[in-house]
This record gives sequence, structure tokens and C-alpha cells, in this order.
Amino acid sequence: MTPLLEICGLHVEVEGREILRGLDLEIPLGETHAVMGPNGSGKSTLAHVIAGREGYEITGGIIRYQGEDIAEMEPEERARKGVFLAFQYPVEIPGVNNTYFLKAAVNEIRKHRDQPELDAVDFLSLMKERVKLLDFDVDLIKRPVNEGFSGGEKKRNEILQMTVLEPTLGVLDETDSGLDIDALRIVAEGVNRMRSPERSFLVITHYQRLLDHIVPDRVHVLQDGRIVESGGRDLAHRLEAEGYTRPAAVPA
Amino acid sequence: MVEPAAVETHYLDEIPLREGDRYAVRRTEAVRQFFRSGGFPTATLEDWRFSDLDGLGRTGYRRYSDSPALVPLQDEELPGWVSGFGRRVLLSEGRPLNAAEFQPGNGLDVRDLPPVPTAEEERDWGFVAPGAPPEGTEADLDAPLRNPLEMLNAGLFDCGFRVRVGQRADAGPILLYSLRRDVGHPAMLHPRSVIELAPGSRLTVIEAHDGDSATAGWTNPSTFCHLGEDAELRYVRVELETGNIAHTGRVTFHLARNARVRSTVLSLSGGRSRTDTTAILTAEGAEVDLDGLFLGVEQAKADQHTLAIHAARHTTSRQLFKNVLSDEASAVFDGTVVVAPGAIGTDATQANRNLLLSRKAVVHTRPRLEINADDVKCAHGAAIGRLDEDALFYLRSRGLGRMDSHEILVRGFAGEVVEKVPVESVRALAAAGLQRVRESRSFAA
Ligand SMILES: Nc1ncnc2c1ncn2[C@@H]1O[C@H](COP(=O)(O)OP(=O)(O)O)[C@@H](O)[C@H]1O
Ligand SMILES: [Mg+2]
Repeated sequence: MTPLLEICGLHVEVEGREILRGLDLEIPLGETHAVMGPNGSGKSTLAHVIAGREGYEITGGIIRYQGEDIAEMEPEERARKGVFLAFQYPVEIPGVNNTYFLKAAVNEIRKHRDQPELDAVDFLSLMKERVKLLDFDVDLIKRPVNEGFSGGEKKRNEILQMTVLEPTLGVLDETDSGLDIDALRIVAEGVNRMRSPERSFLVITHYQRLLDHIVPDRVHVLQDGRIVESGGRDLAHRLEAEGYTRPAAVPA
Repeated sequence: MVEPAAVETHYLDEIPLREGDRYAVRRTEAVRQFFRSGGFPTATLEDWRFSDLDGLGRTGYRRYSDSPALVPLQDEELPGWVSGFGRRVLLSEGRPLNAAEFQPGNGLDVRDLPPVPTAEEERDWGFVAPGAPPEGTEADLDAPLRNPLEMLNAGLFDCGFRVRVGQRADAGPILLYSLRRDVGHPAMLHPRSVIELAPGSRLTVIEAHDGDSATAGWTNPSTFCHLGEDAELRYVRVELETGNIAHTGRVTFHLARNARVRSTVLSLSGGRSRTDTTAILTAEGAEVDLDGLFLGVEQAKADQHTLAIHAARHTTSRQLFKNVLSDEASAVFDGTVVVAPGAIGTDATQANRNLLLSRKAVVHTRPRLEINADDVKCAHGAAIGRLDEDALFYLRSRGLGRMDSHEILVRGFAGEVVEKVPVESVRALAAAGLQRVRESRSFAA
């Protein structure tokens, strides 16, 4: 069976600088994979390239989603086909109401799936249910998107959006940073509830702490724009104990 | 076209004179004063740098009443939002249509402005200065009357409304609607309206200027609002004129103790406009919010001038003017806060924010503070920017299309002003303006 996400020898440049340098990664449908790596190794770049952000130039390699080359696909097309990125730094959007925005997004995606649009009443009851599950402050969903949210509230809002949009591939970029242990547990439960044979996750993190709660099927180590090591869930613990292997010293 | 030497004669001839009009002298004097003080402002004057009214004088505009066989507007010709408006008074090419039948109620009375004010009315109507500044302060309260186009209106005014709300009455909303059509010759309108709120009263007024014309047209309205103690006015001005119509309008608020004004100017016209909004805070506790929004497409040009005069202690003004500019649209914001000597405890803020959707859109912004008192709080700022790429990607990554994402962000930007407009059908006019922005050439290009 073709993997849900298939990345081979991917090279990506940002503003003329090569950030990803021959990255390989496969995530079969139904699996949860973790990507760990030191700061600046290219984790967020990988997440943005999967979601389709402009300004990231693919100079080599292939990126396939559901068997289709998505290198040229618009971000909204990817989202409608089930790609979701929980941002490391969610964006504040003054003047745009959270609920309004999410309802528009849900209906855009439902339209793509040939599902009927949700009316205001159905949408609100869906929101109320998800908000409760994530122990989210209900007043926040009435505010402009992420405006004045604390770091933790922003991260929780990302997961709230994910539970409402029900993607096929959820990419979580350092969702654990800025969360205290209780919030981390709630967010992890939210993700775990969504895990199914029909859905995959790519959990990007700097620490293994999150992986105690979202236990991955596989763990990959990203360093200098490449996956340098892959293994089972134990790899995360080993990395925690030993630290990331230092990059090979550049000869003087 | 009128020869430069003949411009003054042309406009003196346009003064609407009636037989036995004791006010004719005042009108003539106002027009003469306009020409003595320089006539039509040119771009060489600091205050008119970007307003470009040079051509107005020589176009040789004539009054509508000269138009032969002008059929007054029929009800069916009114736009839906106007015919659906509960209480409204109408002008068609400056001709009063229905104010004579207005049924006073809820303490509200509306009349057409008669061509000749009584001696007592003159001051209320803003034809003379509103009086000396309060004790202990010095302020220049005549500033709005020195606006040259105000002088011209005082000489040529030919229509308008008088709105009055009685003590402690809670009235409104009322719509003052003026529509003009193309009559085939360059036509001008000089409406003059006076809105008086007795102490403790409340009123919502929508003043709208509408119309389309392929032939050159000019609308030059003056509106004066006088608020008694504790009175509260919600004022919304909607500029809808399109085609070849130039709009030069003024609104002046005069506030007594603890009076409160919330004003919104919606510039939705497709042509050129300049609007001068002035607030004179004459007594302690007076408070004013001046908001504005311009949604510009194609070659539309809107010029917003504001003046908040803090003439008394402990007064508050807040200004928020926003421009959304697509295509070759251009905007000017020239806002001034004056704190008179002695006006301690003044609290004034002023913000001008501009969203440029096209490389060819232009904005000039000039916020100014003139502070002549101690112990005041004043803040001002201007920002010019494009849509935030991070925000666009964020929206698109949730499945929203490129155009929709742009629209959502533009609507979010405009919403801060639009949401405060108290009448749904007027907010819908802004929504239609946003739709025109979305359909403009440069949008998301
Ligand atoms: N927009 C950008 N412009 C220039 N350099 C960038 C940009 N985004 C990321 N980088 C650089 O790319 C490298 C990888 O960044 P990133 O993918 O954010 O790493 P990580 O998420 O693993 O911390 C870093 O050196 C960073 O400075
Ligand atoms: Mg990162």
C-alpha cells in the first residue's frame, strides 16, 4: 500500500539557503510518527513544506500525499484533501472572529468532501462539544483568532481546530512548547482520541516529554536537514538520555 | 468653462435670491468673502495640498433649479435600503420631497431648512461663531467657519434639514438622504443641515449623499450638530456618490458639558471626496469618537481632514481612520488635535491605519498635535501596510481559498469601524463596498 505521506530526497531552499538536504520520510496511513531534532535542524521547514507555504523552494526530490505529487499544490487544496498543520507559532488575526473563521474553514472542507454545509446551529453544537473535550475557555472562541491568547491557549486553539476539521494527516509542530503538564495531557488526549487506521500524525518535537503521552509508532531524528536515524519509540528515550549526536565536526 | 476673471461673477449670480430676502446681503457677503480669501483652494495651500479643487471653480457649475423639466424622484427609484428605512427625509437634486409631512414624535422633529433663517436661528445654524470659549481657556472656535468651502456654502445653500430633539428625548435613527441625478449640465448642490440635541437627549442620524453622474457634478454640504449638556449623538455619514461627482463636505460637532458624540464617516464613493470633520469640546466631560473608513477602488480618492478642539478641561477625543486602497485609489488623512491653553486633563488619541492592496495605491498621512496645556494625555500614530503573509498562509492552510482569505483579512481590518455602525442596512452598504474591493483589478493579484 502506498504510504499516506512519502518524501524522497527532498531538498528545500529558503531565501537561497538550503535548509532540507535530501530528506526521506514515509508515513503509512494509520501511523503516528515523531520527528525530533535540535533547534534549527529544519523541523518547521519540513512542516511548512508539507502544508504548502510559499517561499520554500523545492530544488530536488519528491513529496507525495495520497500517492499524488503535491509540490505545486496550493495550501488550501492540501487542506481540503486532509492536510492539517498545527503551527509552532500560531498567527494572531485581529478583526477575524475565531468561530466565524473556523466555520468557514469547516464548510470549505466539507464542500470538498461532498458533505452538506453545517449551519450555524450544527456548527455551534459541534464546537461546544470539542471545546469541552479540550477544556478550552469557551470565551476564547468568540474572540478574534489568537488575539491576546497566551502561548498555551494558542496551542490549544490549534488542536481545537484540528479536532473540528478532522484531517487525514495532522502535522503538529512543537505543540508541546508553552504547555504546562496538565495542558499537555489534555492536548495529548485530544490527539489520541483522533488516532485511527484512517488517519496519520506527524508529531514534531524537541523533547520526548510529549511522546510519553502521544506514543509514536516510529521516531525519526532530523539533523542538518536530513533524517539521520529512525527507530521505534525507545529511540526517543535514548535521545533524551544521550542528547542529539553532534553533527560531524566540519574539518578546519 | 468659466474664464478665471469671470468665476466670481458666475458664483455671485448663482446665489439663490428670493424676493424681500433680508438674508440676501449675508449670502452675498459670504460669497464675496470666499473670493477675497483666495477663492477655490489650490494645491499650493498647505491645507489643500492633496485636495486638488482647482478645476471646481472653472467648471461653471449651476444650481439644479435651473434644470428644465427635472422630474422629482419617484419612490420606486429609491435604493432598497432607503425605502426600507423607518424614518427618513429626502432630497432629490436638492428639492425637498417629504420633510413637510414629517410627523413629529418621540421628541424628534425634522423640517426642511428654510432659505431664510430668522435672526435667532442664525447662530444655531452655525452661520456665526458659537460664542466665546469657556473661562480659563482660550480656543479658536471659529476654525470651521473659516473653511473656504463653508463660506461658499453659507452663500449658496439651497436645501437641507433642520433636526431637533427635545429635552431628554430618545430618538432615532433618522435618515437624511440626498440623491442627485445627471441633468446634462454641470450641477452643484449646497445642502446645509442643522442637528440640535437638547440637554439629556439622544439621537442616531444617518446622513447619506448618493447619486451618479457622467456630467461633472459637485456636492458641497455643511452639517452642524449642537449638543446640549449630557446629550448623546450617534452620527453616521455615508458618501455614496459615483461617476463624475466631486464631494466636499463638512460636519461640525459642538459639545456642551458631558455631551457625547460617536461619529463614523463611510467613504464608499467611487469619485473624489474631501470631508472635514470637526469636534469642538466646549465644556468639561465632553467626549467624542471620530471614526472613518474609506474603501477605495479604481481611481477613487478620499481626503479626510479632522480637527478636535479641546477648549475645556477634562475632555476626550478618539480618532480612528482606516483606508483600504486597491487599484490606483488614493487617500489622505490630515488630522489635528488642538489642546487649548488651560484645557488640562485632555485625553486625545488619533490613529490612521492604511491597508494597501496594490502597488499603485497611494496614501498621505499627517497626524498633528498642537498641545498648549499641561497635564494632558495625547497619543497619535499612523501605519501603512499590506496584508500579512503569515495570516494569509494561516487561513489558506485551513482550507480557505486565496481570494476568500484575502477578503477575510480585509473585512477584519475594516470591521473595527464597520461593526460600530448601529444600523444593519448601513453596515450592508459597507459590505457592498468590500465586495467592490474584492472585485477590483488589483485584489489578490
Ligand atoms: N523564512 C526563513 N528565512 C530564512 N531562514 C529561515 C527561514 N525559516 C527558517 N530559516 C532557517 O532555516 C533553518 C531551519 O529552521 P526551522 O525549520 O525553523 O528549524 P526548527 O524548526 O527545527 O527549529 C534555521 O537555520 C532557520 O534560521
Ligand atoms: Mg521549529
